[in-house]
Amino acid sequence: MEEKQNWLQWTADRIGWEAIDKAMLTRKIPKVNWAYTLGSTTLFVAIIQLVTGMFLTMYYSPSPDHAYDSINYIMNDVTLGWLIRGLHHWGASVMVILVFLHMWRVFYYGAYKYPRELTWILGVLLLVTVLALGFTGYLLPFDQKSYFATRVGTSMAGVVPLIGPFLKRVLLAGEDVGTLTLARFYGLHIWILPALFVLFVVPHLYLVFRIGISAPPVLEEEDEEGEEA
Amino acid sequence: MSDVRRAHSPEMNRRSFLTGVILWVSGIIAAIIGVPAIGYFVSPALKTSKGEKWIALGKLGDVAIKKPKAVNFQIAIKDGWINSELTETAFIVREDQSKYIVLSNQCTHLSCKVYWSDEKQVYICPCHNGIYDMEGGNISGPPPRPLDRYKTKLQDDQIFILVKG
Repeated sequence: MEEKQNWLQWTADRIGWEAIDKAMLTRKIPKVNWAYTLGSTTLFVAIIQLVTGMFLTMYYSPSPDHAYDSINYIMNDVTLGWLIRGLHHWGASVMVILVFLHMWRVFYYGAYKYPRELTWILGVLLLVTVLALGFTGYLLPFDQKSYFATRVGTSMAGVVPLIGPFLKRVLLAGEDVGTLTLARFYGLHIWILPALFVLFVVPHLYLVFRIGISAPPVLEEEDEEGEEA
Repeated sequence: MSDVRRAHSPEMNRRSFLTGVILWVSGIIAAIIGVPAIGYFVSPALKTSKGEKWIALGKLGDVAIKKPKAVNFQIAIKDGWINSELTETAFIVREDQSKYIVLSNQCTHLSCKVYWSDEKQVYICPCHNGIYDMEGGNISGPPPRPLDRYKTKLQDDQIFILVKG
């Protein structure tokens, strides 16, 4: 370890983050390729979504009378509001693309197999959470596109056998998209779903650090430097 | 790592170089989000009301001498993305036939609204018991200065005050 500044050593003595650093950042990993960075990239975009989303709540108003106008205000009147909302808007699409690419990499290399089944299951829960975040966030601008997209999406839920019509009424909080739909989508989007995301992502990452990442499955003779985790 | 390569630079090896690069790139990315976020957060504070406007309060003839009259008036405000009206109150105080002043009802201590007490002949602030005399001068309590006076003008017995907005 290099010489540390006093305050760094002082906190290190109490927190013991040399152990955390060793477990998370300087741990041994097998010889891998760029596809193995997709998980970190997804986490990075998720953090951007979390931060920009928090800032958006400072101006956004989740009521049918104000939702559209408040977003117009963010885009045109707030300093760099277009940037904060732009990051959140495009980040949402990037997020969905990245979780799928990440999933395909894990699937393609068979990294979901023993002992990493739980990591995969948590990943599936994260995928569903991310899609739900995308769907609920889509309604929030409350323009024509989001209004009808939500009608379409909830109508799909309505064709589920037996419970469909009830499920649709629960999602909409009524018969059609309206005040209550917007309010509950907002609540889901900024509280419930991000909380679930954190709840799933923490053990997901813990398992990645505990078990280690899998090496790409290659033939024995090609596998020179790969260190089994 | 070979001794030859390590001898090349004892302070800077590949690991410390990459650590530095990662920290710098992370810092730059954090600044790209963080600096706009500061501007985004403080932006409404930088928008100050630009104009001033004369608003009619009523006829001087309708105000009794030595009897402050509370008058409501509306000012147009831009409240975020909402254009709305705010109702304010001012006191017209008539000293004699021609002399009059218009006082703001906003306490100079912490901006509560004062009311006129006919019984005690003073303005009272209900928040921290600031007391002002009829012309807005301080009598007691925490207010640091007299009640603010509006700039006024008289046209055909009509009183106008100059307000922001």
